[in-house]
Amino acid sequence: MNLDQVAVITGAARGIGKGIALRFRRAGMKLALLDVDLPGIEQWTRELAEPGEGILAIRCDITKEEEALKARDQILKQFGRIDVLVNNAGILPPLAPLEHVETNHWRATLDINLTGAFLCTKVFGGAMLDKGGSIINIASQVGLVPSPGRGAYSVSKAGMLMLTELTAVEWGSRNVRANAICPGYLETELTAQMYSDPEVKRRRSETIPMKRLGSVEDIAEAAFFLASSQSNYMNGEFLRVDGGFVVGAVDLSNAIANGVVDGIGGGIGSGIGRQS
Amino acid sequence: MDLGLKGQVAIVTGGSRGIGKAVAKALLEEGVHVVIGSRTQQQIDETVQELSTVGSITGFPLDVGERESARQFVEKTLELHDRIDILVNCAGINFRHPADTYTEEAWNRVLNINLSGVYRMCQEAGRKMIEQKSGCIINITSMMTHRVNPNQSAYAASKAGVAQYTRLLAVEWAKHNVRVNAVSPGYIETELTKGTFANEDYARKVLELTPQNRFGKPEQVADPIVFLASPRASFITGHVLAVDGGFLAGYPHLNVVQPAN
Repeated sequence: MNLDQVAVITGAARGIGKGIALRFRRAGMKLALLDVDLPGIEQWTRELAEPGEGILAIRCDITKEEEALKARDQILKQFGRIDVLVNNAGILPPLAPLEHVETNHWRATLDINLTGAFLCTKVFGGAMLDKGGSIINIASQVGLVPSPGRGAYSVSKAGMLMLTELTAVEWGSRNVRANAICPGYLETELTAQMYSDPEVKRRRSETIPMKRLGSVEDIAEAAFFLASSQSNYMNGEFLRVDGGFVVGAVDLSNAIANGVVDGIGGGIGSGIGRQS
Repeated sequence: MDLGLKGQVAIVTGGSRGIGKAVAKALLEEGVHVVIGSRTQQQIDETVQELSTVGSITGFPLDVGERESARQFVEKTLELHDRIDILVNCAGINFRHPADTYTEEAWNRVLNINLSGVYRMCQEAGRKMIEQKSGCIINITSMMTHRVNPNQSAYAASKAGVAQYTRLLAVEWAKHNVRVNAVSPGYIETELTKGTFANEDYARKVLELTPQNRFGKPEQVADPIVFLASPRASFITGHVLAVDGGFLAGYPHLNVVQPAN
C-alpha cells in the first residue's frame, strides 16, 4: 500500500466508518473523515497517537452537493489527491409495515443511503477519474434479500449495489474500480444495547450458519482488501461478510428425515438413502 | 501481504499450471506449506522445482476424476504435514460442442472432473478439516457460472453446480468451523488461454465487454483467493466472488449498441 494514499470515508464518526478509518490508518493511509456529526469524529480521533497527523475531519451532509464539493476542494487542497472512497454514511429508518411507512422516512432513507452515495461517487469518485482509485460501497445483506419492516433500507441498499455495478461499468476503463461490501448482523457500539439481552443475541446468532455475530473488524478487513492493490482486478462485485446468513439462515432439513427418498428414482434412490 | 497464514498447510489441485500455479505461489509467499496435485508428473516436477525457491512446496500425482486417487493424495499430504488448513480446487477441463450433439462421453468427463472432482476432494480433505474443527475451502467457478456462452453446456452446468455445492457445504460445515467459498475468474491470461486469446476477433470482443479493458493476470485471481483463505476473511462463507475486471457487471450492455436517441 502506497503511504501517500488518501481515503475519504463518510459516516466516519462511529461504527463501521470509524472501524474502517482505524484499519486504514494502521496501514499508513491519510484520511479525510466526513460526517454530519463532526464532534463525533473529533471525539475518537483526538485519542489517537499524533491526532493531527494525516487526518482531516470535515462536517459534511452528503445529501447536499455543495457541501460535498466544498469538502472535496478542502481535501485536495490539504492532501493533493483522493485514492479511495468509502461510501459508508447511512441511516436505518424506524420499523414499520409497508402500508404504514411514513413517506418522509422513505424519502430521507433513499436520499441519504442512495442519493448520498451517488453524490459522493460523482464528487469524490469524479476526482479519481483517470488518475486511479477504488470506491467501496457499504451496502448490506438486506440489499440482497428483503428485510420486512425496513423496506426503504432494503431498497436503498439494493440500489447501492446497482450503483456499484454501474460505476464499475462506466469507470472501469478510466482507472477507477467500484466494489461493495454486504455486512451481515454485527455486534457494534450501535447494536450493543440490543444484544446486551443474551436471549436476543442468542436468537440472532442462531440464524447465522457460523452461529456468531460479525464484528466491525470483519468489515474493516474486507474494506482494506478492496482498497488495496490485492483486489485490483475486482470490479463491480460485492463481498458478502455475513457468516453465511443469506445462503443458510433457514434450515428446513429437520422437517425431512435423512435417507428418505422423494419418490423419484425408486429402487436406486432408496439404496443410496440407506447408506447415508 | 501478511494475512496471518504462516505455517498453514494448503492443497492446490490443478496446481502445476495456470491459476492453480499462481495460487500455489501466492500461498508460498505467505509462508504456507503447499502441496500441489496434477495428472502430469512432469508438470508437477517442473512447478515444484520452480517454486521451491519461494517456499515449502511438494507435489503428488492427482486425478480428481478417481476417488482412489483423491484419497491417496490426501493421505500422502497428511503423512507429510499431519493437517490440512486450506483446499483450493483449481483442476478443471472443458470441451466445446453444440448442445444438440454434445456426447455422453464428453459430458461425463467434464462433469466428473469439474463437479464430481470438487465433491471428492472436498470430502477427502473436508473429513480432516471437520476433525480439526478448522479449515477453509475455495472452489474455482467461472464466468460460465453466471452468464451463457454457447457450446459449453457441460462446462456451464458443472460450474453452476460447483457454485451451489459451495454454498451448501458452507452451510453444512459452518458448525465445524470450516468456511467454503468460490472465486469466478474472468478472462485471465495463462498458458492455457493463450491459444483462444490469439484469436484477435475473440480477444477484442472480450476486452470490449470487460470494463477494465484488459485481461487479468493469474496473480490478480490468486490474491483474492489467498485473502478468502486467511483469518482476515473469517466471517465470509458461502460466497461466490467474481474477479473479472467488471465483466459480469458489463454484460451485456457494455457492448450492445444502444438505440439512437
